[in-house]
Amino acid sequence: MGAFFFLNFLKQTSLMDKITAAVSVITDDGATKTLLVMFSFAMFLGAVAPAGSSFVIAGSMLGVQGIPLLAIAAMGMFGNAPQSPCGLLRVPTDALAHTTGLPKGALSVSIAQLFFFFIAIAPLWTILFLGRENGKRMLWPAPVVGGVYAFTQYLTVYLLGVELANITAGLAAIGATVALAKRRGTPVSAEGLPQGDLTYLVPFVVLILLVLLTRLVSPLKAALTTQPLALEICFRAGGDVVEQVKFRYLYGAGSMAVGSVLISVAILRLNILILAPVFKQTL
Amino acid sequence: MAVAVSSFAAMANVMRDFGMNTAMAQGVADIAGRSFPLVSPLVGMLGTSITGSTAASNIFFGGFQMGVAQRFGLSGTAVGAAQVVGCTAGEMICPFNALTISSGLGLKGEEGRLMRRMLPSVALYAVLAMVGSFLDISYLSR
Repeated sequence: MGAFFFLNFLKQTSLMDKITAAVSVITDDGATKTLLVMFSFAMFLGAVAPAGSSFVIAGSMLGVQGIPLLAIAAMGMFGNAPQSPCGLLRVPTDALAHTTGLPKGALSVSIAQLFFFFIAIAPLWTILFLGRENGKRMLWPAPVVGGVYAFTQYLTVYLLGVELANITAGLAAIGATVALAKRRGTPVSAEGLPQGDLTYLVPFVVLILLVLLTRLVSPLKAALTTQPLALEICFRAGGDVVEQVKFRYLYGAGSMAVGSVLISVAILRLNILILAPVFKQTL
Repeated sequence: MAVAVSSFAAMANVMRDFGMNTAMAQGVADIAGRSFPLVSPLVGMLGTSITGSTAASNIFFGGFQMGVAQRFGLSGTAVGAAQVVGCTAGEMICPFNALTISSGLGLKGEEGRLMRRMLPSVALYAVLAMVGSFLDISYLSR
C-alpha cells in the first residue's frame, strides 16, 4: 500500500511526467530505456515496494513510451524475482533466518553468492526474451549493468547486511546505465523537461535518506523499533501461545514510502490537500 | 499482508511442533536421496507459487529444508540459499504477483496471458536454479 501511495503521489503531482521526460532525454535506445527503468530503477524501488509493485511504478513510465503493457508486465514478473530476497528491506531473508535459526549474516552472504549469476544475467534476459517489442536494441550495456548490480549487492550484503542491498545496488546500476547510455547513445532533445528542474528527484532522495537514517543511525533505529505503534498477532491453541508476531509499523518499508511522500510535500511546498485524492486512489 | 504472514508463521510452528516437517523431510530424503540439492529449489518455488511471497515460502518450508539438510549433513546456509533461489522462480509465476502487476498497469483480466507468457522463462530459470543449487550445495559449500 505504501508503494502505491508513493506511485499515486508521483502521478497526482505530475512528477511522474517529469521523470518520464528525464528518461527520454537520457537515451533514444529502447533497450537502454528498458534497462534503466525496468531493471536499475525498479530494483532500487524493490527495497520498499513488494510483490511486483516496484515494477508497476517503473512500468508506468515505460508504458507512455509506447511499449506494450503486457511486455512491461512480463518484464515486471521476471525482474521482481531476483530482487525479492533483499526486498522490503530484508524481510524474506529475515523470515528464513527466524524459521531455521541460521545466522542472518552467513545466510545473507550465501544467498548473495548464489544470486550473483542470476542477477548478472537478469537485465540481458529481460531485454532479449521479454522486452522484444522495444525499439532499437543496444544489448551490450545489459550484462555490464547486471554485473555492477550483482557486485554492489554482494559487497553491501557482506559489509553492511542485506537490508540496504537493493538501495545501494539499485543506485549503482542507475549510475552505470546512465553513464553507458550517455557514452554511446544518440543525443536526444530535452523537450518537456525544463532546464534545471530536478524536483522529480525529491521524493526519491528523501526516500533514500529516510531509509539510510533509520537503518544506520542507532538512536533513531532504536526509537522506531521499540515504538508502541505495532500490530501484535497472537495465535493460541488450547490456551498456549503458538505464535506471536509483532509488526513494527514505523520501521517498515511501507512507512518509509509514506514518510517520504509527507516530507516531499513539505519540501516542495505543496498543498497538503493534494494527498486526499492520492489516499483515495490508493485505497 | 500482516495477517497472512502471521498465519503462515503460526502454521509453520504447528507443523514443526507436531513433527510434520520431520516426517516430510524423511519422506523427501528417502525419495530424492543424494539428488536433494536438485529438488531443494523446487520446494521453494512451490512455496512461493502457493503463498505468493518469498517470505511466506521461507517461513512455510524453511524448517523442512533444514530437516533434510541435517539428514544429509549438508550446509544449512547453502540449502537456505537454494530455497530462496527457488522462491524467486516461483515469484515469476505466482498468481498474486500477476494480479498486482496486471491491475497496477491497467491489465485486469490479462493475468492468464501474462502467466502463460512467463512459462518459458520460468522453466529455464528453474533449471538454472537447480543446477546452480546443486553445484553450490554439493561442491562449493561443502
